[in-house]
Amino acid sequence: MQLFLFMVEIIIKADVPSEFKERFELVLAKLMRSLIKELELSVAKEIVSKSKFTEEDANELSNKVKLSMHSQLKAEGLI
Amino acid sequence: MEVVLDSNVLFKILISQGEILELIFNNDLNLLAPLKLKQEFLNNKKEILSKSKLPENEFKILCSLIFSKITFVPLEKYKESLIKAKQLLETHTKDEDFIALCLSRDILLWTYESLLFKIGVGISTKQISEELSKNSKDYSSKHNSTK
Repeated sequence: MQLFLFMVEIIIKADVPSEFKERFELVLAKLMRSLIKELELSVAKEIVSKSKFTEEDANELSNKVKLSMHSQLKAEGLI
Repeated sequence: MEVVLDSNVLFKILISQGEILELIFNNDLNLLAPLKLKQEFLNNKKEILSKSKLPENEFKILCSLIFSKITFVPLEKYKESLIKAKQLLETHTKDEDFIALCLSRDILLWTYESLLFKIGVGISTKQISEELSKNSKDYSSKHNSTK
């Protein structure tokens, strides 16, 4: 399965004194990283808040996945 | 800080409202996992959707966000540590991929599996939070003392 998200570009324009340009860009990059992290986290939290998944589901599927991974290693003669 | 992510942590994201998600999105935490984990997770998409009752488009967004935070490592990169992992795990035979990846990088496994703590390869959600918070305090105090 391929996962695609449609991305859009947002352009922010700001007037800053030329002697502060580099410093401004550094601070802006740091702020943007933090902003994107908060945005992604809030989207993830919102989605997960709707999930009806249970602790038992998580344990059951985790075991299923691990057993399948183990079987693949065995089949390939690696363990 | 770098750790390998166990499948039980990946699946618990779907029931997490706090700590796990906060850590996944923490830029100071570098997460690794076997590439096969991603493939297996997606192989079980139907069952996850059925149990979580999440709409497929939201599940895709969640996967995309989570997977972008994890470096998935192909088997070739840790294959040589599989035998050592098997010896370490003894009769507990289903975690070889995860432990081999840990051994190949000399890092711990973020897990909820109690046996993995007993053999010294596990690190808990709480321990990771504490470690990151300690590192952040150390950085702040160093940074402030140089001002």
